[in-house]
Amino acid sequence: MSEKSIGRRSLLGGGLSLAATGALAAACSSTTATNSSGGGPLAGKKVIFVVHEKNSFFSPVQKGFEAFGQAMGWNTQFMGPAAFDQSAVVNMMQNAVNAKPDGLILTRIDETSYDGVIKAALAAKIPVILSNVASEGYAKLGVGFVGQKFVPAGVTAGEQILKYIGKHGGRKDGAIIIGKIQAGNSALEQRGAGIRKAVEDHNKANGTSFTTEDLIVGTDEAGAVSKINDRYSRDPASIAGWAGTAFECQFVSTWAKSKNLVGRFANGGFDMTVPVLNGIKDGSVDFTIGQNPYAQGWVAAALLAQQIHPGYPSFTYDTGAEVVDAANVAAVADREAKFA
Amino acid sequence: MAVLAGTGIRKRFGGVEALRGVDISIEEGEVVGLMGDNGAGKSTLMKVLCGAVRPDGGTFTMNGGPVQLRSPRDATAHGIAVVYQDLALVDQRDVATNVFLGREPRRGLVVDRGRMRREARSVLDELSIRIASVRLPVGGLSGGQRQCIAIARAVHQGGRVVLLDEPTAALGPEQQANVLKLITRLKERGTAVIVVSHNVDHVLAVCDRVVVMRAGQVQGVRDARSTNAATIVGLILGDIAADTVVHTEVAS
Amino acid sequence: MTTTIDIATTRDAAPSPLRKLFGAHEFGVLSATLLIFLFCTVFVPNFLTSDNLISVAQQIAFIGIIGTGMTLLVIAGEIDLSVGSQYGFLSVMTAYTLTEMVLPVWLATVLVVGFGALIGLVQGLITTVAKVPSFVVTLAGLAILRGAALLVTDGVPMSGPPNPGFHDLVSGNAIGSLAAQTIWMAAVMLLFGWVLSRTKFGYDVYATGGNMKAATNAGIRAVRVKVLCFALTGALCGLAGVILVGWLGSANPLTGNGFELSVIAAVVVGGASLAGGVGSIVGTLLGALVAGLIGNALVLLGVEGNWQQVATGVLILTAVLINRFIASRQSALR
Repeated sequence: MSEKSIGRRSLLGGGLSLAATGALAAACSSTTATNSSGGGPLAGKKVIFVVHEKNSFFSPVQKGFEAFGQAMGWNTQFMGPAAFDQSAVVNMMQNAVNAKPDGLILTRIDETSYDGVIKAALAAKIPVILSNVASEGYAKLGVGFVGQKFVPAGVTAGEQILKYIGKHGGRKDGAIIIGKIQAGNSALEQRGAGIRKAVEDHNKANGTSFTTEDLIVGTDEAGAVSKINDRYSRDPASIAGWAGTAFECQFVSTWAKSKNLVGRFANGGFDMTVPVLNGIKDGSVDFTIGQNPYAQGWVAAALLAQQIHPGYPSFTYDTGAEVVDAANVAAVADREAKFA
Repeated sequence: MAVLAGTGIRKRFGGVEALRGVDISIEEGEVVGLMGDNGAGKSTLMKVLCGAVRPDGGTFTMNGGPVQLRSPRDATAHGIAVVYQDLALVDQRDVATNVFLGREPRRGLVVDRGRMRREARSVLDELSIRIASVRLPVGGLSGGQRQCIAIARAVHQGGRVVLLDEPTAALGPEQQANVLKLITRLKERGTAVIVVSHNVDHVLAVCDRVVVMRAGQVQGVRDARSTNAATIVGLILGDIAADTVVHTEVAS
Repeated sequence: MTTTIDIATTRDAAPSPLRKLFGAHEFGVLSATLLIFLFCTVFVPNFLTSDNLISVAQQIAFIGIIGTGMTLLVIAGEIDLSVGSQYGFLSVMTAYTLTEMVLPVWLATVLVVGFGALIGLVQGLITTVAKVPSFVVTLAGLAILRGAALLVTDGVPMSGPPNPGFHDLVSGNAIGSLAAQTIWMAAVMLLFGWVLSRTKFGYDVYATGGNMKAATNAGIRAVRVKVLCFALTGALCGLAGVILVGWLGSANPLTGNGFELSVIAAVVVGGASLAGGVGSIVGTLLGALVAGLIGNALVLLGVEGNWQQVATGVLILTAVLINRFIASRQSALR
């Protein structure tokens, strides 16, 4: 047997398997080709949305983005790495720029790392909108932003937690634990800063002596519950409330229910995941702050659309800090169920 | 004069006396078979000879001068090379690299591969070892070829005394014959060879002398041409009484 | 035996270039890479543009640089699961030495690379001297170093200094519009490709991973070889950290999260065996290229995010299978 025939045979084998993967890739991409409806000058535009980490929070963002895209007859593509890694995100964004889309929506979770790729997109005349997180200094890039203003939203959360500490026994001191699902995320850090500011202001105005401390719990429920329990066990009497910067309150809820501690302290945070809303319904979570993720997809796409045609410059759109508590949870849960 | 001789070698492991005053010697161009039941002390003696185990007592001489074998490096420096079954070769590497393992010829920082291949080939030819190409990875060769390459390395790396641990075990008859032929070839070149084996036929076929160990002592030494398998097996099993004047007999 | 020297030398002569190509360990991954490249050229819009190819070459720089250390380590029969955390921790250290300690770039680089080597040295010593499997040691290292990165930064991304010279050195346009990162990767891979395939140390690495007992019996200081490979991997993580900070201007404590998997995938796709003794830098470069091309093509093709994960895994598996298939054909050839 000559080596040539072997070479040919292996090439054939490889070719077949590659053809199979090509078919797979084609099947995948066809799921997002939504140019069946809509019309006008924006029909058939290719718009790519790259987030820093593709987790469940972004489901309503994606739904909002795709709903708008479908109405316009766009080809939409929504992506992000499964686990956050700075260079993985930058690479994915760079690939998105290379795909020469008609518009790009990105998250900018720190002040420098993503500027290179944003500038590259702008240089290639691709309009860019930031969504969800923008970080300081985004304005000088000349791009718009759709999302929550995190420090004020954090202040709102801080005021809420203080209000509920008053309802749960009315302590004048104790620690407010600022939970974080993730370190290194400027949005969570800014909300945390907002919570701290609200607590300091409250202490000054009312002569109370609340303290704050950070606790990184992660996104894995079992790990989060054990970290929460560890902090509690260290000094059970010291804790006045749990104020999350994302959906940490759902882990506090799970833990408090298992230890029969519901109602012993205030518990609240951000986001409208199903467990958080259920927690509000059963009383194990006092409140949560919404940031309207649907708008972060839908409005971002809309800003992009009016920038592509007729060509109005983009601007910043605050998606707010909606307070959800026992009074309005039923209506909010109905609304959020539409993304399930 | 003996190229290597050990006198009164003792080694104790905890409560077990593995070697109880063993005398052994080997001449240039001589093949000595080392036999004995499991636990007789053969492997301990081999490890002592190659420096892997330090004896509690006894002396060594090489060509009449006293030597110390405190480490495998010492032993290698004195030209004592050991070939362990299946512990000698790197399967993924080619024949030439394995012959030179750990001692690749260099030109500055770079390994001189051309010289390595040429020299490997000449070593193989000198020992009449048949290998299609020195570029072949040894993992694909037969057990006999692998054993031969391991032995070739020991010789090439300056082994004047080569210790072979079960060189024919786990080989087919034809490959066993090749290995035995190689041992004869080593003898012709003047290399001293000590063969540890359980196979009486192989030992009698290739060795000049047979040293039989039992319970940490030399049970008997026989000239391979004037003894037979039954005698050797008798010594191994202890059915034939131990010689008492082993080393004087050797010296004559 | 009837051979003459003439016949012997021709038998040992180098095979023809064609035969050498088909017989090379890297032929499988080379075929896979070329097939993917051809596929992309034909079916993927915007793929075959110089900008796009240059950015692929830029994107694989970190996998390539850290993968070089990992290749040596895997060939030596060990593995380092902590490379992602080392890379993250050392990029944070880069930002720290530049911004907090205000050291010049060259000194910060020396410190960070040296610190990386030290981390590798410690992990290597624990692995070889205490005889704890490197899988376990570096799994612990993965957690410890990620924690350390978070502690140093308080969990917040740390800015590097605004230093255009530094930025140009590590990520500016080097030759034409080729990114400096690509050049750094090429330099690292050329150097260690040469070390691995030509020098005594490289031979020792293969021998150590192929059969540690044989290597030790042959007088190779196998423990030292392994520890050096760990230290080299750490040092290259440091270099990658420095380049990252120069490029992006900040260090996120979560940098390199999960990166060890991409690196190990590239090394394995490149034909290295996790059992040790087999592998090459050329293979790892091709493995990194496969990863880069797949990531790039899936975005260009418009594949939706969740499917990208699936497709990446499927394609890596396909590349390995092509590799395996060709390797089995090659052994039939011999």
